[in-house]
Amino acid sequence: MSEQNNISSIDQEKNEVQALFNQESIDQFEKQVNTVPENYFEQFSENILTKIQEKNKNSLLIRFGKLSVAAAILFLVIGSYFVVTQYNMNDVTTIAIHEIPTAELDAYVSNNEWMTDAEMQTEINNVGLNLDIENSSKDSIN
Amino acid sequence: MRKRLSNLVYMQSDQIIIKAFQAGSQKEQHFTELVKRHQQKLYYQIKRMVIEHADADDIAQIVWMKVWEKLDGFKMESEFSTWLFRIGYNETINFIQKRNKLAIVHPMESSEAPFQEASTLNGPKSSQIQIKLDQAILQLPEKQRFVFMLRYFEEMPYEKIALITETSLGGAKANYHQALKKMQEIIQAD
Repeated sequence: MSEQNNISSIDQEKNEVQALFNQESIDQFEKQVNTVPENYFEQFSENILTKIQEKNKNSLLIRFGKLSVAAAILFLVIGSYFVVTQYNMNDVTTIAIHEIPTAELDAYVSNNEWMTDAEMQTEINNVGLNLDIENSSKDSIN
Repeated sequence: MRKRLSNLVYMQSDQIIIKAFQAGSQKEQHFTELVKRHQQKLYYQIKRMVIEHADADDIAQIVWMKVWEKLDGFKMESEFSTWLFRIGYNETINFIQKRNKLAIVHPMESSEAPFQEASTLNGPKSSQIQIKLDQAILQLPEKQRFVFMLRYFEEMPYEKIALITETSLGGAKANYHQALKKMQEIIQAD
């Protein structure tokens, strides 16, 4: 029923259009639209498949290229990490304290004595101790 | 009744081909089958919109490549031809809009494009009424033109046109009648 309605409505609409333009000019328009190069439709599906294959090949190459770049970056990062850690391990030598000569230890202590004093003073200040003997005795008198 | 039955058979065999494609064996063969069944209607509809063969060919190729990419995910909730024409509609509108933007950027190159198209369409011996028809068609907004072509030349029901152009049923009918009215105005203005 709806199919029949559609057909009758299309016929009516076509009559309206044909009243506006003549049938010949409409046919001419459609004839021009339907004109295609020779064997166009026969070769169309083949052309499409060729394009699809080319596109797939290209996207595979692009994907492979991206993977290669990612692998190269990863290799560089891991490689440089190993090189740096190896270098640091070679550089650091562990020595036991009893292996250091006494003269060397004495020299170190005397060279850094002022630093020890300064650190001590900072600690005293932090704790808030008042080691001024004169003041403490006055306080005790009062 | 017979036409409706043959449409139904056609639709079902589309589904069989698509299922075979989605199953994964001989994809190219099934795809070729689909192309051969629908290529002409799609191409003609695109050509009615863009006029030039080279443009219509480019758009048709883009449409079919998209079909290849997306066919595995096609759920058959609509007819294949509706889905195909919807892709065709979107690609054609994109193409025309890009061309129009180019015409704004380079007005000297394309200011007379519709009239040149109309004259190439008709050839040297074209009658006055043919030129008027072409010019009237070319002056329609893209959507109205697409709807008019589907209705008049493909004799498509409005329900299907509405699905293709992603509008309501009333919207599709309105587009057709506005197109007709505008063509009347263009003819009467001359």
